[in-house]
Amino acid sequence: MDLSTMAEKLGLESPECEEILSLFIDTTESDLDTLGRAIQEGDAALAVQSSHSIKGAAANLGLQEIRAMAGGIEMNARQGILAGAEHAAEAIRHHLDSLKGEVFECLKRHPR
Amino acid sequence: MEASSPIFREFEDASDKFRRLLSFLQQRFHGHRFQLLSPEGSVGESLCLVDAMGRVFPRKDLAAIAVPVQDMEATIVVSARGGRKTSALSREFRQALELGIELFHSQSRLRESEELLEVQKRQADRTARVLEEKYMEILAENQRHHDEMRNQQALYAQTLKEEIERQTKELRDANRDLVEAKQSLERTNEELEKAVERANRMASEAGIANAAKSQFLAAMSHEIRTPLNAIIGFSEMLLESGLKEEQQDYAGIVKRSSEALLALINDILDLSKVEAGRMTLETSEFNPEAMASDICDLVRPTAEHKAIELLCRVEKSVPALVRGDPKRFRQVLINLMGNAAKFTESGQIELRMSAVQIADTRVKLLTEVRDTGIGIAEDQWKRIFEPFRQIDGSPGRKYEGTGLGLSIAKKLVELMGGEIWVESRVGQGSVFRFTAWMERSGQPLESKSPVTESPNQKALPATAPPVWKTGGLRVLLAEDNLVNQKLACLMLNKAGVEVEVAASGKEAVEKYTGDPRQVTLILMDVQMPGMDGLQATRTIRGWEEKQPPLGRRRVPIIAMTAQAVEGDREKCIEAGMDDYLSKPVKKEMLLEKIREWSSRQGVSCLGSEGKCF
Repeated sequence: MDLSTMAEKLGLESPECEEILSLFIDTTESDLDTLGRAIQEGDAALAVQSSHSIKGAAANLGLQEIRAMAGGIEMNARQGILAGAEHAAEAIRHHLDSLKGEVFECLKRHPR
Repeated sequence: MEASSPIFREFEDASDKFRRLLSFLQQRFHGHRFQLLSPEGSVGESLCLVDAMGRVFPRKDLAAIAVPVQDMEATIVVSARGGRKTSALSREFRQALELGIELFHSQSRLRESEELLEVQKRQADRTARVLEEKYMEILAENQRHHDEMRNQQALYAQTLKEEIERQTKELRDANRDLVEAKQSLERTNEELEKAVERANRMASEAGIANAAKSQFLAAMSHEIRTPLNAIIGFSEMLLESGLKEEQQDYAGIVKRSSEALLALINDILDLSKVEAGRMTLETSEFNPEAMASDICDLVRPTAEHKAIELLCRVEKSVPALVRGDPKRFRQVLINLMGNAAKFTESGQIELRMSAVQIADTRVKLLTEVRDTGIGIAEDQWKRIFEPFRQIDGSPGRKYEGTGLGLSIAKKLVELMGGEIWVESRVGQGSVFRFTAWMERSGQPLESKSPVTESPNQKALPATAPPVWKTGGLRVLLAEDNLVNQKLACLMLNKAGVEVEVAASGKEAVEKYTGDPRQVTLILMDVQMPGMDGLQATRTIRGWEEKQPPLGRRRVPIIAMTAQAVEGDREKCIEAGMDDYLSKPVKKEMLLEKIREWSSRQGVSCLGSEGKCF
């Protein structure tokens, strides 16, 4: 996902977009940690909560891949199913990492 | 010959002398007759009478005197001519005669002296001539010697000069050779330097290329892992979704294949990290014994399935706590135990751990994994630690695996300052051993373990909290998601809208009912933990109903929901909401809605007319 395209879609300036993405990365990492713990402990309710949070934020930012994966985890977790959630969460984390890289590059170009 | 014998000359001289004396006297004394009476007396007898004693005996007719001539042992007899008397022969005459004789003698002696001198002069001349000749000879000799010497010197100088020239030439030649050798050496050196430079450049390029390769590989592996995790995750979800048997099989194949691929990618990623020098060990505290038993538990299902006895022994020497990289230590253990389980069909697998060396701050752990599996031939003992090596390299091989596990294990063990090696016998089993240095830990586990988050604790974003702008329009945003809060605030603040945030349905109700006149409209997230958006809306509408008719007002509530699920809109309207926005919320759409609903409220600071649902 190109940041300027994203900013355009959201109707934001690039610096604002970077700011919101930084926030998204921070909160999603935290959510992923919670999700990982929920999966390990078999806590489906906690998994629903954290994956829902990820899904909501991703949806609002138009990050469809993350939204879909978090949505999948949430949907299964609502039925008490956590199989596959760990891998899906790992996939989300990878997406997040590349997003981080992009934001970092942008911040390097336009330091605030 | 001029020089006659002196004796003869004396005789000759004697008579000659008498004659000369008489002649001399005759010339001087005229009128007189001189006779010489020699000692023999022959002459005198005729002239005068002279006795034996020399005395004169005058004759009567003759006046004569005798005068002895001493030197000549003779006597002169003088007689006067013409018969004069002897008186004439006075005493004076006698004296004069004697003086005359004396003169004669003097003259004679003078002449003799002159003659002697002449002889002496001749002799001296002769001697001088001889000496001169001698001198000339010596001179000639000297000249000859001088010439000889000069010739020799010239010869010597010539020889010397030639020798110097020869040696100079030799030196020049040698020097030229040296210069040539030096130049050649310099050329060689230059070429060598160029070669070294080229080699360095190539090495550097190769290093860069290798680093780039590793980086590319790491990046690629990362990129591949992302979709792969999604494939695995969703195929697992698919498997849980009540598929038909055939579909179940297919989904299972997708999942297992993806898992195998992911394992390979992970291994490649690890290996490329190690080779790029980017693998760093972390340091945290862990319990080796707990880890050993943990890993045995992991292998136990496979072991039990194959009826293999599993033994786990941790010696007392192993400290309860060490500091090291538990993840990497575990990775090595899992690899060895996994291999043991994979390649053993029956018998035993034993994991044994001991401390073999304890230093002040460190401890060296030795871990052994012994199995009764298929074993490894001795010529393979080293090769199995090379990347992409499996003993059975055939396409239809029985054992799965990437062949990277042991080479990664080796690199990890080396990073931990240890070694890994194997001893084995084909058909009997293998023993893998590895050592690793760990720091000794004196601290209790609790104080060092990383702080874990409690389930309800959420990491706060690093960015500063948003600053809400004030203005005529005031929106209450009910949204639990920090990102969505921030996004909405950004969009609205920019448009001059003031935003009040409520992080839950309950908070939204409280904020609105607390001071309803401060809220122009409410943006309500539908799904919120605790009281959701629908319930909050119902609560608000219920509260509004209870207000006195004069102050009663119905605040516009616009729903925001992540999923545009069929029937959601109806549910929202039913709950008392006025409008609906689906996520992702677009700025233009959001502002349109706000314009529309705020103008209906009589607050119109946004200008253009909004479009209604």
